Amino acid sequence: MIRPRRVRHVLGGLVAAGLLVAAPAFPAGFEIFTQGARATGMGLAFAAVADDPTAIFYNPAGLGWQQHFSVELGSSFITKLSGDFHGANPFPGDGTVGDQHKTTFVLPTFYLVLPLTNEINLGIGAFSQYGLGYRWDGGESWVGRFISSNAVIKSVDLNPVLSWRLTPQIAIAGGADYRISMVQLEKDNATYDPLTDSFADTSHVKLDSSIWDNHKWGWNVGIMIRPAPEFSVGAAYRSAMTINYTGTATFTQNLTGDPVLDAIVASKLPVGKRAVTTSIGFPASMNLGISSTIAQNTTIALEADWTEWSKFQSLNISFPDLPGGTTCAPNGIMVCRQTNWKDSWAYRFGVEQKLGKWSLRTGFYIDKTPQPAADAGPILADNDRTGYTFGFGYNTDHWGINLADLYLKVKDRTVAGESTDNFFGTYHESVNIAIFGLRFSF
Amino acid sequence: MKKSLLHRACAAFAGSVLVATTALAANAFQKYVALGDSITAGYQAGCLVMRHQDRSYPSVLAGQIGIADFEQPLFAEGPLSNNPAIEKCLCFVVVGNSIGVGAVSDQLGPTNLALPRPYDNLGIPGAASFDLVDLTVADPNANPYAAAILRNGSAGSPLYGLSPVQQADLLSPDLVTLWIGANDILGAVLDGIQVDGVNTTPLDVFQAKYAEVVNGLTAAGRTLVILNVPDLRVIPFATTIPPVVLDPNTNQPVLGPDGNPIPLLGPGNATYPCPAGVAACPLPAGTLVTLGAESPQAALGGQSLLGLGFGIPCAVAPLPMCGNPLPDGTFIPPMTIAPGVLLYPDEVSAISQRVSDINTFIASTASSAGAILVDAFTFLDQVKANGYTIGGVTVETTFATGGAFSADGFHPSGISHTIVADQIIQAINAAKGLSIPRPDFSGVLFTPDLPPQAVGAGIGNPETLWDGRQLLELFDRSSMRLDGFELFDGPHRPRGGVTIVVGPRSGGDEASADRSH
Repeated sequence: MIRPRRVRHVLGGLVAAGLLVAAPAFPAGFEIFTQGARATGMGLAFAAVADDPTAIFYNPAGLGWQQHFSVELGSSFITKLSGDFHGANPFPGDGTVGDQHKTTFVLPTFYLVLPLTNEINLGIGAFSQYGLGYRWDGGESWVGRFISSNAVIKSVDLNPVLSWRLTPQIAIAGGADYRISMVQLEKDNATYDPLTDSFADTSHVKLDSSIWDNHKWGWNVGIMIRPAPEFSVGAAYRSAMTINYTGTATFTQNLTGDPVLDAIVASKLPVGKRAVTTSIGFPASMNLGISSTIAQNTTIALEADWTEWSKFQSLNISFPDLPGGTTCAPNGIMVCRQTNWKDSWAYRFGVEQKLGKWSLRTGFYIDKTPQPAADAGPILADNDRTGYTFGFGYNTDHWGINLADLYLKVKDRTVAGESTDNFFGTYHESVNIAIFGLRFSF
Repeated sequence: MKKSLLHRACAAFAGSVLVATTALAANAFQKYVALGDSITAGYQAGCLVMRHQDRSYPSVLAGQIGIADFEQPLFAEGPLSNNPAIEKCLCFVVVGNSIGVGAVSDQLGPTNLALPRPYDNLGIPGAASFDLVDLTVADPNANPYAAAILRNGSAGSPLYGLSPVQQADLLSPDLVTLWIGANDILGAVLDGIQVDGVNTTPLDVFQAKYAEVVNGLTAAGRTLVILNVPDLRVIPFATTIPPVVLDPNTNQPVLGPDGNPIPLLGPGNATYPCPAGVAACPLPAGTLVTLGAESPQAALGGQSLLGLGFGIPCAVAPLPMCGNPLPDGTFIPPMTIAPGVLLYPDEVSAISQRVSDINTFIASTASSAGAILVDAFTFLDQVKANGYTIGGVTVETTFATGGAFSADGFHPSGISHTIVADQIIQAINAAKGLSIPRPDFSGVLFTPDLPPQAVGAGIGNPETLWDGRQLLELFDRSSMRLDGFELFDGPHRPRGGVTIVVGPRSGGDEASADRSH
């Protein structure tokens, strides 16, 4: 009991530094892969490069060749450029529209590398690997509000790792991954009004949890092989973990102006904050990369990333202290949603051109969605993504600054035919991520 | 004789049909005709009026296909009168601090009787399978709806002597929907007893007539969509009142000394007899008590059976008629039935078996005819079990609170009509590889469906509308199949299970009684 509390105090400091913010969903699913500026510039193909402190995230074995005490502070700025929905029959109907809330999310990162011996390095990273911010504008005019008007996942990972360079060509690493997380979901409820023979928006429910109450330990490992100075192979693995959340549900009545209907709703609506529990399965992930310096000062990197999204099979929300709260609807009020996600792959390509202390980078990737079309809805409508990246940096032995930009185009997701929510239409989304990293080495 | 009539009618209508065909060449279908009973007609909440007919599944389906000249026998709607001879439209209304069912408007006469061709919607309230082929000369005294819709009873009419099936064929449709059969068995539910040939159609008769109907509708190049008979155990009329004593203040079961609900009392039947010498004994689990037990009846001085205490043990509530059994339907040969309000489990099983037999025959007939079968039975059972959720809005089959059934407890609501149209469209699209657009549910889910005059009168406001108005003698068996309700005069008030108790009921009944004087 004590150790987690200490860890949480450490995290508290990071929160104070502004680390803990809501994040939008990407790459595919609700994973966030932009945790380093150089990696982002190179199309996120970094498992076989991993030669700066962000290796703690991308492949901790890359620490094996880092000889200096280093600190890297950075942040990404995630801006939803477009995010809208055009409805279709049978519901919410042709001509209906919705807009995602456009804002810029700030996601800081922190990495520290401490050489213990010539071969063994300690690294500590803090980042937000998973996050979701899927909020719809419009309040009671948002046509999907009976499914979700705001879905949020926040998480922070504290990831201490040890790397060990076994030979000049091979290094391995392993670490512990302590994740704290919170989820939030808001939606409206519709009630049949017999007096008008139609449905009315009668209440709003907000499910919330504290990031300090929900946590889990996981682990990560990595290996990097450099058979020749100009060639590198890297593999990294991060474990799955399932976090069981506890939180509160707050029900607020939306008055219809009809005193009888309002009285019926009031008589059924839970009062005050009520307990709510849910569980989210976070996937394991594996990153396999190669990189090569094909010409003087030109490095290319290729990578294939696997994410075990099949871990996310369902989203069940129960209300343990409410009648029927642990029985799936319709007999109970528990939300039991089959999500049925599939494992997914992403394929990345990046290149870096060094010009003295300056570097230019660019990259490209495709990221296949894990989400079946039937599951796409107002909580999250994901689809295959294409990322285009560009970056540059100035690096010396003692410090460096790197900047990158990622334009992410999500393929339009059209939900027709089968739909878990029976909610049809097309989602359009594009995202820009600007990121910087500031490194100091001693 | 009939052939010459057909030719004459064809000549008379050829022009308009040709025009329609040309204009709609781009649609998947050029001509659509619907056959069926009151559900197909768009009858709901106790009446057949254009407000409901516009929301009928045939109307929605025609709209989605893009048929512009889909004609229904539209009936006007007028302000509520005191004339008991006029069908009344029902709504859920406020009664004290409860919600009950009340009349809010009158069904007036047909508005387009002069249409010089058969209607495209040939749904006829009250029709059973045999009516679609046998009803060649509709008697307005026997079924005024049939007479107004078929217009085949007068020798001067171009439709004289033409059955519904013949009228449909006359229109040369390339799409026909057929939803018939509920009225072949529904009488058993309404009466609390099944007697073939008296209140239900013998199975062999049904089979012969149904085959004749389908045979008459089958034609080259024509798509026939057939819906089977829904599970009659699902309708609120049969499912709203549990077979146990309810506390009128909470609508929850009253518990006996053993902690279990106290069964209502019935007279027993051959399978579940009462002990010798005992006139009233507890209803076995699985018994269905129809809404007839809760409806005020003129013969009871405006009270309901349960309101007077029928079926309620005197130890629970010393009401005037406590200790007496709720009536079960009884057959008095040769052709008389004394209706009851109980369906004992064996009767429920028999009705279910008949529905199953009917649906088995419908399925095989549809298959032989190459028709597209829409399994309304299974679909409605699924809605009963899970609700029908669309966009986070869940429609359920519970009376007054679910949204799937109209205020009469039998007929689907406008929302359900859109669901039915959607199911048909999906079935056609799947079978034919078409892409007829599915209907828009937003309007029907969120747009109030009220008679125009009721909106002005402030429906929902307990201080208006109810004053001086009549309550219906709901669910009185005396007159109905899937068609209408009888009205009666005098002060009445809703009771028990038909109402939804909102809060403490003190004074509520008195208040509504005062207003109804």
